[in-house]
Amino acid sequence: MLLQQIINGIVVGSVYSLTAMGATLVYSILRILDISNAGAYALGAYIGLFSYIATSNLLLSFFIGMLAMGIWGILVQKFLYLPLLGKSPLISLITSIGLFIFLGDFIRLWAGPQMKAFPSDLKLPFSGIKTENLTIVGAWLLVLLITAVLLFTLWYLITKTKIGLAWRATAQDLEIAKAMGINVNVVVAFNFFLGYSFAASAGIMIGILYNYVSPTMGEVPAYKMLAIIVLGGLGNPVGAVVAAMLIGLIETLIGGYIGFFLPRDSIAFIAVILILLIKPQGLFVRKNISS
Amino acid sequence: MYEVVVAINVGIFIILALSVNIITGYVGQPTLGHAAFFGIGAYASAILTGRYGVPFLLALPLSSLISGFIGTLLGLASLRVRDDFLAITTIGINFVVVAIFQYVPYFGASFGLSVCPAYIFGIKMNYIGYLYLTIFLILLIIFFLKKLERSWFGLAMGGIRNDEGAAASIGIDIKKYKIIAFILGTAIAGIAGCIYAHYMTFISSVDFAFLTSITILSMAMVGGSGTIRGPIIGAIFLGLAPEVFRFAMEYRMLIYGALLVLTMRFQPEGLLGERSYLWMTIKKLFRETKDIKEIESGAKDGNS
Amino acid sequence: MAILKIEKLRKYFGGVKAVDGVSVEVERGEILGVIGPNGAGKTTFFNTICGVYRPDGGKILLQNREIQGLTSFQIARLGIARTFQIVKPFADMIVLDNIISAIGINRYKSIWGSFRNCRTNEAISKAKELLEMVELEGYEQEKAGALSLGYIKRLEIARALGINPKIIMLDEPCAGLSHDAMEEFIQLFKRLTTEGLTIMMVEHNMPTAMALCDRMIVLDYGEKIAEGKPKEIQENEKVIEAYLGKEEENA
Repeated sequence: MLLQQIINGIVVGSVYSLTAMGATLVYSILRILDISNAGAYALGAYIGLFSYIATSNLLLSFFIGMLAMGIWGILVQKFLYLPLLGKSPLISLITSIGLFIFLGDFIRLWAGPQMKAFPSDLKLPFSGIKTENLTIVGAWLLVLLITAVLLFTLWYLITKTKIGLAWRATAQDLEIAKAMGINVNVVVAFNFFLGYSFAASAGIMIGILYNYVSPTMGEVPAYKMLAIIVLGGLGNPVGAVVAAMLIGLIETLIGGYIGFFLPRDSIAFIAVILILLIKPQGLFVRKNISS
Repeated sequence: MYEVVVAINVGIFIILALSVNIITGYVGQPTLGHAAFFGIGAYASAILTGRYGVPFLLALPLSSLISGFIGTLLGLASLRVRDDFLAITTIGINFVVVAIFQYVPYFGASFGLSVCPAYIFGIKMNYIGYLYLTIFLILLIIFFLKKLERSWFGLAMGGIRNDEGAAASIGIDIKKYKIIAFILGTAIAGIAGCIYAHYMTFISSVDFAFLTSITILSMAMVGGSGTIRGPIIGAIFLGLAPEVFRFAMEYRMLIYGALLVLTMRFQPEGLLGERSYLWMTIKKLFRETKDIKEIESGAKDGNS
Repeated sequence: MAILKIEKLRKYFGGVKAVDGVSVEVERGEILGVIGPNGAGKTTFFNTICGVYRPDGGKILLQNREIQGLTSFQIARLGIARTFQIVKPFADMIVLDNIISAIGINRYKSIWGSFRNCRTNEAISKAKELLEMVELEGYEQEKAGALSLGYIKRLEIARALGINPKIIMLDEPCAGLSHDAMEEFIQLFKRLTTEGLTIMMVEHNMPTAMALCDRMIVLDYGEKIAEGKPKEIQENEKVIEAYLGKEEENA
């Protein structure tokens, strides 16, 4: 029973880590809290859903959704966030909240306020595993697999490639990276492409896992991801994954017990407030990734 | 009568926008959960008058004090937790406070709380009464803020907002002033909460959620952060917009979101901020009118 | 009479001994230079004296009163003013307000008192006086952030003077300035000391430091390796080695 819950928690944590990765990546480079990333999460889910309805190919739908949101991310940084660089953080914050509100309502007007579900004959690449003590549905396996692939790709890109090196330099100090001749515009665009496509993948996964998408599906994740990335140390991708897993596990394991007392979703926030009061920099200090 | 209700709503927003502006516009501290203190004031007054029979005129300052007291805790937290971490902490506080109102039976839980009517000097308050009260309080607050802006306190806040290290180097006690700014901002939000509770006669946790916090903050920022005219105009503009654009009700949020994005992108200081297009134009018009008047009076003197 | 006495001051950051047992006495009315190769700990030394960092050991005495461990605003109120290596103007406030805010140093003690009007005739004229001293008159209504670096450095000096200090600590006041601007600063500092002010200065530019300072101390790796008149310092072997050694490292 416990093992079942733990695996459930890891699945939830995996989705959280992909969702949080978007905001973390944005913060590492631009030092802004991007709440509109959760809008890409919701919009990506819808695009994935419609792609699946059109193509009946799940992996292709993932790809389309991620690509679309990746491109959206590039546009957002170019026209919105880069020009606002250097201004007060409240300004980019309100901008990103405004964008998030806009996206949410856009989805509602475009696709209707009702929630939608994936077709009941959803063809998953795997069937589940069923043992005496455990049930792991195919959707869980899909989530774990895609998360692993995406996170590994991210790790590889950042640590082993040339653009990854440029990314690490820019994350350390944007001005110095620029002065050293690094094409910061490309790095930022690359960064947003990754962050937004990851969010889209997470949205599609949630759509599959819980079998629904709705215009407001991004609201709870928007705030929860903020809590998670703070816990993980703002701008620390590894920390974000760890924090996401932790929150996913805690919510799953404890959520049932405190459900009558406080909503499950407030666990992340209570954790953040408590931890920040003890350790104002978050659980993990911003790591020096180049080391 | 409908207009009066709208006016009261806008008035409450003006008070809230002015209050959040003290923390974000004057002292430069991010606070994204201000609606929590709006709510604390509302619930405090509802409970004081409803369960303990406290008269309205006493409940008003008391709920303000209660909000301000809890605001002190936030102020203390702000000393420990900075910048982006503080922003997220304030969001978290908003969520936790709303969750408490939502779940704890003492506050009515999900049923909300009905609020008994307010009596001033034995007379039951009606909408016109609330409107007068709100306007009176707004004028009081503006008077106070003007005094603040012209004082050493105002300079201290400006120092902290711009550069804490430099402010300390000229003898400003950063901690003390930050905390007091939080107290002022949250206490005034509590006043708004008290009025809101009694004129609505019913409150529930939903009224004080994160979206409300963003609404309040965006009013201050869209109008013009760090000024008195900014939050007032922002509150009027964003508060009246749903009324004026009734026909576009369906697209309300879409327009609101777009408005926030466009304003922050192209007029980040606010529509009436120091360097905004609108404000510079207004100042230019005033200067030109003054110049014309001077020329005219000069011409008159010359002719006499 | 030594206005500032520093006894075996220590400041460590983890394993790094940024300031390691530095002692010096600053005489009233003198200009004391603090020089040394990059990374010697000069700014950390200043920051520790001014209360930005808490010392890990040693004593700081201002007019024989111990001030180590006090916070920066308390030390400012006791009469130590400072400027910053990387300038910190109150950027969105006008120049005049930048200075007036310093003049009000005693007003900030009482919250009640701080509600009084700050732009009194007295405060404004004092501020204008200071601005004249640094030749910034005419810029009163400009936003401080819009000024060029050289002007901001002057603003910082006027602001520091605004608190009516006994001693002013300048951290690389001439960095990034044109030759003419530097000349003006040198004249200004000399004038200030004739009016009774004591100046401690970190300065990288050797000719300027030599021209201005009555005495100098040299820091290297957090330790004081020399102290004396500029001429003596110039000929001090240990000092030459310290600077040359750094050059070799960088070569």
